[in-house]
Amino acid sequence: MSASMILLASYPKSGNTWLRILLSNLLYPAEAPISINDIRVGGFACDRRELFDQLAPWDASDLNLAQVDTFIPEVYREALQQRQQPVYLKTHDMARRNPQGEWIFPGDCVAAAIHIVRHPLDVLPSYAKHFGLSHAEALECMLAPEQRSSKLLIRDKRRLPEQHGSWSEHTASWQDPELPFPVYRARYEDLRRNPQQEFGRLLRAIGLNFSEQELATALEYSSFQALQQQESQSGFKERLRKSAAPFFRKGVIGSGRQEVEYELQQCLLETLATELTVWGYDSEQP
Amino acid sequence: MLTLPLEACEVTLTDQATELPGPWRLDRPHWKARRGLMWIRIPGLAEYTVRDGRQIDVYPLSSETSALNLQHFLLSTPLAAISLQRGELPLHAATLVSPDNNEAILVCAHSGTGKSTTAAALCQQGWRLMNDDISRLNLHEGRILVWPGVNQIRLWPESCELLSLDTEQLAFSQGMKKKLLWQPEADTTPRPVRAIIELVRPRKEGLTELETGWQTVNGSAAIGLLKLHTFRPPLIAALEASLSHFQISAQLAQNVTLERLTLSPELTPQQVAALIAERWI
Repeated sequence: MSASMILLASYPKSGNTWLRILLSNLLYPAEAPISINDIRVGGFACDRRELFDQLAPWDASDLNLAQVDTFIPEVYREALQQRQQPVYLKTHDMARRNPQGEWIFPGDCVAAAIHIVRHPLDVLPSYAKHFGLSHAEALECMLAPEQRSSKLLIRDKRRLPEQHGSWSEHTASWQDPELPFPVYRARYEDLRRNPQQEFGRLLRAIGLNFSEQELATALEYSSFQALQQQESQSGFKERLRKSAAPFFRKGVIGSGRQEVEYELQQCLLETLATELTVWGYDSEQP
Repeated sequence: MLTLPLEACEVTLTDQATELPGPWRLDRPHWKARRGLMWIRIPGLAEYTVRDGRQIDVYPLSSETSALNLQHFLLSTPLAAISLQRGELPLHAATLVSPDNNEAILVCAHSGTGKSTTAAALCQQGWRLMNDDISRLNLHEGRILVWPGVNQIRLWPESCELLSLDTEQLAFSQGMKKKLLWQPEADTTPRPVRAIIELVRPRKEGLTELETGWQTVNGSAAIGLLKLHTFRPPLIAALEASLSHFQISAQLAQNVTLERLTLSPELTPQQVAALIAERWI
């Protein structure tokens, strides 16, 4: 009997790392507060070529993206056979099917997914700083269909390219009613405003029960200030070399309104108006 | 013309799919294997059937599949499979021959670490290339020999830039990726193995001196390292090649220096090559 995966899904710069650190502090309390350079949860290595090249029939470097997608379900199945406990996989990939029609995250491998969505206007400045782009370039990427990480992270050949898609494609893909596993969703803003309640809800949904006190302690260890302090003291290995700011930059709700040029804000809000309504962002200012 | 850098091996282009009944030790949708037999497909392109260390049938799945593409994929997993069927160890490693003493050094690494770029940088410093990607090792008259194979290096355009290679003069390789082919001076003589080096490049920056540099790998760790870097580890058991694989691994662990070189992320290919040359010339 092989293990199963719990997916931690989000568009980049939407709170995924925060969730991984919180889960690490909860699941490994003896090591808490967890070092940001030793995050224990979410690193199941399927986003890395190393695992693909060991388990798939061909080298990823010989394949195009569609061919890589063809073999990804097999790679997950093989990798999970070697595990006993459930594994957590952080992903910025769109949920999608491969050319053979199989979900790249197959239903027989995934127990559940947590999907975090953040207001795209707040994602924008963070995304720009992270990838070393201007706000205009970042907006172009966020709106570009079939966007993938290799266009932004070309220097790191050890990773398999992630197909983020546009913000809109990504977000819609994780709402697909045909996804073969349950998806539990949360908005980043709600996690920030009511962390105890919202994280508690997500954790219970994936079968993790912690006391109020355990969750409160883990939230304290995972607070933005604590993470910023760790990064300023010891750096963060997941920060890209091209980043123009610390990884844990602001994390403030509504920072996009202050930081992003007015015309770009308007472009983003108008282009994504439908999605913003779906996520309840139309009735509130970020 | 489809060819492999092997003696006594027939490669046949066929227009009929091969019907192969089970049971299989490895049984996946695009990949099946058992003792003496491996079948593998690259969707939309071709299927390869590898038999008994002597025969490969290649079946194109499309009339648009070029012979160069068929040859490109032939030199990947099918070559590793036929090597394992012959009782060899196909290591995912580049082989370089020292300009001073004609000894063969193998450089292995996980994909994307910079194995080929390092090999190219060594060639620019006078080393000769014996293999870029798959290095076949076998026991020959009591010694472990490495055998010559493909004497071209496939490089990403960014690597060519780091190596100051004129990309205008280089052809694109086959396969799905835009890699460029560089042909350095080749060495075509089977040679005893002097050392195997595993390159490791951690993602974290600002590593201390204690975290970088050379580390000897011995005993069971060495055998584990050789299994990890065998080209397609699942084939070892599937082709029932575990015994011969272990015999060669044990000989290597006993008689050849295996070292891990942990690199600081800031090092250039030339600096990595200099570290290797300084230690092994």
